[in-house]
Amino acid sequence: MSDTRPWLESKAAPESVLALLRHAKPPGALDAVTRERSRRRLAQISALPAAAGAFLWLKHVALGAVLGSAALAVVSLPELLHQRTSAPSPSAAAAPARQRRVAPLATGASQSAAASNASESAAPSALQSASPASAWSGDIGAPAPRKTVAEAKASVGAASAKSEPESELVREARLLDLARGRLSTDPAGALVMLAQHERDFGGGALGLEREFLSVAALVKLGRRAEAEARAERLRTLAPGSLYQERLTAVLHPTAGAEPTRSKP
Amino acid sequence: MTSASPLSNVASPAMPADVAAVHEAHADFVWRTLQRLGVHQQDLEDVLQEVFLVVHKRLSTFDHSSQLTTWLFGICLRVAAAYRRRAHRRHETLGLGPEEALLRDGAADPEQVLAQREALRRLELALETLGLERRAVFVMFEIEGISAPAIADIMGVPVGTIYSRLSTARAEFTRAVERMEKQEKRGRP
Repeated sequence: MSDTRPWLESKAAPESVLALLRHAKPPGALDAVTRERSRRRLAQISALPAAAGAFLWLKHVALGAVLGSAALAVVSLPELLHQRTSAPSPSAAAAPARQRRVAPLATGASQSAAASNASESAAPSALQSASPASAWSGDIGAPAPRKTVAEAKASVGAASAKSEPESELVREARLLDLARGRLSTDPAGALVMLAQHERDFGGGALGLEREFLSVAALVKLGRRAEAEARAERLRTLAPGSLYQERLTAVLHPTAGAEPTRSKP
Repeated sequence: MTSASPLSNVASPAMPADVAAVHEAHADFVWRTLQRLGVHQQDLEDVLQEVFLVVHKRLSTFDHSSQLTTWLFGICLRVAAAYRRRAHRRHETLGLGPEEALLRDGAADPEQVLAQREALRRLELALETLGLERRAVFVMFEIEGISAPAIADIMGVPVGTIYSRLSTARAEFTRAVERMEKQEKRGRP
């Protein structure tokens, strides 16, 4: 393509085309009211079993039945979430066991040491990547997705037949490493991964590190109040630890620090 | 869920923390993307919910190899494709279009309003001739002024692919506009 400037700038299009483009409006932003309504609807539907949730997503369905079912569904939500995943995996089967066994949070110093040891000894990652544009194949003609996270986790679990606590730590550290790697370019994605860590590992051996990374991600996203609140809890959980300095650095960066990434 | 953890407070128990985080961070991106893909104003909220229902179901399969926005863009494409199939039938019957939003703006000059409505109707007709991915590229580049590298980042494809799609979209859009002009000159609606 010879001219890489927009047509309205280069005028390299017929006048009839330019005339239409001059009238065009860019997409509008999501307003706060609609956003909140969407969030509430999503929260209500999330509390229901999958089939009922999909059905009740339709417009004009009475919310009374939804809320009544939601109260019952919330109690059994963890099992429902794991049953909903399409590919049963060792990680899903092991999740209830992990939830019952909540490891006490280590101190800041020992967590940092554990994290670095686990990273150094971690097996090469078997997490393959699916094609970005193909959440699933279909109309857009995307290639078939490669190995899923569940399949990759299963292969890692089978390959590393070490004692469970060590494998657990390796998996924790790997997930946190992935999240850490995304902090600067995709803090929202990092936050999703950190939430997954909390769901899969609970307090875990690296829970404090997870909390620190969550604070960093929230700062990057501009969610200052949430970042401050989580930082305060982390300070309480790990008083006098290295996290005190790290939290100060991330909450009050010096001039020239990396700016928050904004998306169109 | 980690009910025993003292740190489990990212979201209410009714919604998994990760889904809440995705909605909080990217609902606006999805909203704009659906518009880029031709979802009409009056349908946007419902289609937004369709996207997040899919997100809720499929987030566990997201392997973090691409950016989350790229993954979301893929979902929006699929949902918008289904919407387009339904919308074509409905809007051909009802004559609805994006200019409906302009009526709520209350522009003072009726002639200006009519001219704007007509321009938006023709713009939408021309855009509807484009495939969804080419439409998204065209809207982002020509109307929003987003750079090709940034579009490539959103869609998770090489910059060269973006330029290729843009080139095709430009040709198709121009042909659609010229076709409309010819039809109008012949006196047909």
